[in-house]
Amino acid sequence: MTRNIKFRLTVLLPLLSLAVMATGCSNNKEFVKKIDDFQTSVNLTTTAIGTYYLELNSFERELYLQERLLDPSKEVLTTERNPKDPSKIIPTALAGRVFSAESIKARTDAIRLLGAYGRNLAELAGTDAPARVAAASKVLGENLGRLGTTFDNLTGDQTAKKFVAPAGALSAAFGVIGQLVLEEKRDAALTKAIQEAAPQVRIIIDLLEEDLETVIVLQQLTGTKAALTELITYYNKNRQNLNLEERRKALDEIYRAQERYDIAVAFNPSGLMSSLRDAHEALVKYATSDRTPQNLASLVSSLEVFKERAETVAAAVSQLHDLKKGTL
Amino acid sequence: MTLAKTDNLKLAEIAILCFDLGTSESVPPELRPAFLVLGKRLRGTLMNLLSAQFDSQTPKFIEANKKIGEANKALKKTAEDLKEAADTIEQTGKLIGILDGLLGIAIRFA
Repeated sequence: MTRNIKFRLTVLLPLLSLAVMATGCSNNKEFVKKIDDFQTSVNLTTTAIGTYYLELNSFERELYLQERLLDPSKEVLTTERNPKDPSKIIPTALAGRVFSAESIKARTDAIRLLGAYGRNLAELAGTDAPARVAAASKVLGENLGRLGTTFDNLTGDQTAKKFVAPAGALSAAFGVIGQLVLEEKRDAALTKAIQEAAPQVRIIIDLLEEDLETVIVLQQLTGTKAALTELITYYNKNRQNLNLEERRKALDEIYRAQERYDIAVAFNPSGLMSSLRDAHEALVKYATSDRTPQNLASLVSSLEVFKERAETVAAAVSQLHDLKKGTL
Repeated sequence: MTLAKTDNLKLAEIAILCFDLGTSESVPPELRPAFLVLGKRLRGTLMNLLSAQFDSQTPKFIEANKKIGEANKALKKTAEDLKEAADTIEQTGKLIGILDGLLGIAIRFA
């Protein structure tokens, strides 16, 4: 009996240890791969969400011009009297900016920060050249720092200021990672990067989510609906005087406008930020855990959902572009 | 002082309801363009209100939010029963005036 136990201990224990080591090793490889997936989805997200912000003003410009296309009584103007205070002259939606350049820049820079964060994690995870990554990490920290300074200069726009503190702190977090990479403590560097950046990443995600919900979604929904209603009203009013080709063209425009409205209703970009939040939290949890297969499974599942949503929203943005260009 | 925003989600709903009524067969053709105009004016005001913040205790702000709720109810009722469509158009028009006036007392844009 004692011999039997001794045998079990001497033979089975090392085997068990090997198995555990192999699992740990394969988990780490899987973790590195998952960070790469995370970065890919973050990239898709930043491009898609960035497009919404960059096109805020051109969206309003198109609505302004469509209104004039369909109503010849309306002039195209670059400035007009402020309806609320006729003594003041203000730019029209054609020449002016319904949303200030500073306001848009603060948000697109915040999105770029998230993209840089994902890229940095992926580089850390995949490195086999520590010195190069350490140098790159330092440069990235400096670049992000400059981005933080840009935010600081955004004094003219109150809405931009709220992005300043988290952006600056996120930049600082990256500056200290390089040394750990040089010491070939890649796992420690990854964990530290994820831990230190987490609070700022959370704040930026929350700010962007709120912004998307309270600005972008309402602008898109009401704007695409206004464009659709205007086209329908024009058609109904003029249909008797249009020839077959003109009617076909007008109905085609209505079809595309309806599609754009449907996309605005179906794809809420703020939902993507919620998936990004879940994926980020799973990443933080896994990086700071004992990295069991169960934890990995939870990370994988969150990353899958995030990937799917990111791909869906990216496809919706691309479809909106095609509809706008008339290629669909 | 507590800062607050107008109920912009509800305002967007009102604008969309106006657009819906502007293309609905159940609305007399002569009234439809009025709903389109209302929808566009509401949207213009909404774009200005999206980032505006107000002192939540200001009577003008309280009144504006109350009127947003009333207009929303009136439009929903109109969508079901068109008898009071003309009144609803008038009421929504008044709401736009109130909201435009409110913008003048915005504390900040954030």
